[in-house]
Amino acid sequence: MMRTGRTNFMQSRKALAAFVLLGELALAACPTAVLAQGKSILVVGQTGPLDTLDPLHADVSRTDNLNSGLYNTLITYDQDGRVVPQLASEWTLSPDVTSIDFTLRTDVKFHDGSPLTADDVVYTLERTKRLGQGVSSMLGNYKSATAIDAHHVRVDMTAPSTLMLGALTKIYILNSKLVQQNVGSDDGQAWLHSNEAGSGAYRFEVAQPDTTNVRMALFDDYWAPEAGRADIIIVKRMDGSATQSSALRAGSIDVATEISPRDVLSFQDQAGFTVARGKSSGGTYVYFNVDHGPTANVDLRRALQYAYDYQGDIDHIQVGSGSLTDGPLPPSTACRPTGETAKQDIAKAKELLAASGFQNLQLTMTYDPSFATMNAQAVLLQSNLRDIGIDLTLKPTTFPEYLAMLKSPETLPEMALVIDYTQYPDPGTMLSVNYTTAAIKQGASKTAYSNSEVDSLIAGAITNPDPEVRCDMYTKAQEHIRDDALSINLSYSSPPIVSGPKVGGIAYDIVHGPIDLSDLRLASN
Amino acid sequence: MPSAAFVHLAGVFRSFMRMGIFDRIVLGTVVVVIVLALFGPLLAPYDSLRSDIVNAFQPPSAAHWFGTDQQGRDVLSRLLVGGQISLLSSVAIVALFALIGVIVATTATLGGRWVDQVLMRAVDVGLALPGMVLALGLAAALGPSVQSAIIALGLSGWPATARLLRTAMAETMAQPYIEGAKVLGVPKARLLLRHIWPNAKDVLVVQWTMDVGVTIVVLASLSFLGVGAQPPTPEWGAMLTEASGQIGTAWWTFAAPAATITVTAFAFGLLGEMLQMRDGQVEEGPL
Repeated sequence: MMRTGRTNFMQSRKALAAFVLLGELALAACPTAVLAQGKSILVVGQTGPLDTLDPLHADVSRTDNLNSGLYNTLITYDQDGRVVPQLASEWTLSPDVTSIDFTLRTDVKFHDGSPLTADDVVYTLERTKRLGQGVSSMLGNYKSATAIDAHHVRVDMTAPSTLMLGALTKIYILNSKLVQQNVGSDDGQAWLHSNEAGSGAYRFEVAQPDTTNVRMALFDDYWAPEAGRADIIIVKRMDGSATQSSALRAGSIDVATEISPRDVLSFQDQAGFTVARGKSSGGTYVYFNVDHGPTANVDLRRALQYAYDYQGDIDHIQVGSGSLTDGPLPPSTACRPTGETAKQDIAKAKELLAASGFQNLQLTMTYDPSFATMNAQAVLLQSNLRDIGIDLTLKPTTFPEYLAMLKSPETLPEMALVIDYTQYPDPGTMLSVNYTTAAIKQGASKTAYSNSEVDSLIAGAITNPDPEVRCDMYTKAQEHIRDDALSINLSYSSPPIVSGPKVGGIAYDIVHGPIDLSDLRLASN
Repeated sequence: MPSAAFVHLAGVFRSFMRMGIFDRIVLGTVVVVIVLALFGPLLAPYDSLRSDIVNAFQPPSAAHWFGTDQQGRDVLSRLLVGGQISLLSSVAIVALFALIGVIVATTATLGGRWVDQVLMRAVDVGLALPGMVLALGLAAALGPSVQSAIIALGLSGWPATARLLRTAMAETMAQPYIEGAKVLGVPKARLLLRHIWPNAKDVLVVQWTMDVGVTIVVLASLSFLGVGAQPPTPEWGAMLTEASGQIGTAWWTFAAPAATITVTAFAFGLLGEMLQMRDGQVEEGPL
């Protein structure tokens, strides 16, 4: 009997161990399975480490994507590039554009049940300014915020600037009382790293210790409830297009946010899968140094523009995940002038090259070879220039090295291939950084372009409260920039998002790209 | 009456035919690789640098035996042109570290006890450092290019040659006839040229032959990591880098340079072993 009893005990221990092991394997392999319990779940594949939940770092798209489900901003942009309400129901720009008055919604609750007040907005903005990291770089002209009453806030600026509206679309509002309870000695950074204090459609539930998964659950008291949101969203770290493609096909993720153009082709006509592309908020550009060296010659710059095979790039390098350019700013921005799309014309390129007076010209272009698409574009341009008799040397350069070169026109490369994009679709952001004399002085200009008329148009637009006048000025500035041929606008990128059969609605988000988690919807069937 | 050159060639051919089939394949492969590397640019059917983007990613066909790459360039043409760069660069690297190694080993052998001790400890340090990491750092510091890769690999590869040659030279120096020559007052230079280097030559030729094969792979690795050849140079490792994102969709862009590197490195390695066996440095195995 003893023997039998011990055998049974041993067997039961083995069975228990096997049961636990199987359970652990199931947990590891399929987190959605054990979480299901009748709840709807969507899993989003995201590249790179899920570093932090702190909205201070929402300038990094990985953090921004996570925050888009957990938090809200005062205002945001719609897909047409118009500023629309979110936590603020109304706002008024002062006539001298030095302050903005916001009226807050009265029905907003944070995830702990406390109501949104003006103090939360003031605390968030002051904390962002105080810490001076991440999104604080967008609050350049921010002076102070004042709570007028519980639901009215005034934001004052140090100088007139309409860019503040765009910047506020990147500032997620914190529950000030909750953060202050956990403020520690670092202004709540350690706590907000792995906790949240938001009012978004989802509340944070848990992250795996190695932060490869972040799980969030639908917030029942969300101020903007809509049918079709999943009960649970899991953001799962998954690096690389091939891995995300396989996982999407296998059903272990429902949304893939990093799929290479060639892998996208395999999903395009496959039943159950949807490929979404939004308006591009960026592209690849070759910026010229227009102050020093041979590229100071406008005929040469135009010759270089005509030499590039734009259509070949779109068809065979972007493979449908990009579009032809028609100006210096990407399609997501408002106030763009109408113009012809870029087109290769070798005869015209040779004619302009002859007019420039250069012969047997050797040029150097910096580029970052770690981006496969950029690498291919650099080689294509090199070959195209060879066809018109220009020898282009490609110089591998990391992004920090490139930033160091921007310090002065003397150190600026004669040509630099870069991926450039806007954090939010206000035309003033890219224009003021790339094409003004002030940017040269700040060591930030990519072109060393100095044109008093363009300076005046951009500065005038930034400080003008009238949206129509502002738009007109931005448009004229872009026409000057286009005529002066400051860059070869190779292509606009339209990163695709691919979703599986469980997903009903998805769109590329122009502010929190690739996706705003609160916009994810389940398929209706 | 046949000329002396013809007689010599006939002798070489007879020697070749006396070899086993395996040896003939190895030697034949090496000869073909060298010939293609020397005349590759003349044999290439297309311009290896010009993008023809409309024909990007064409699979192998009669027009493009090895297909085309992302830029629409003929992969075979790039392999042929790149062969010259890869093979000649590897030979240059081996020559560079051989030169440094010979100088160090000779100085150590003839320079007296203290010089020997210092130089051999330096060799020990060199051997202890991971060569690839050292070469990677040097090439990155010099700026990415084929020239930087050659210098970096040349400067990081010499300790093995120095150690091998020092051992061979020490054995020769211990021979009674060398002692006798010293007693007779034969100058050091004459000793080196007539007795010491010739005795070490066979060991080194075997080693350097095998090194060419290894160096082709290492050079390709540096290019693959971005510190070697730069676009549009069709060096074999750089071709692998360019093709690395398309293994699933255009396998030929990756397979062709990968197979070429493998076959070439393998052939040079086996040639080294063949020479080693013929010189009796190792017992011939069951192979």
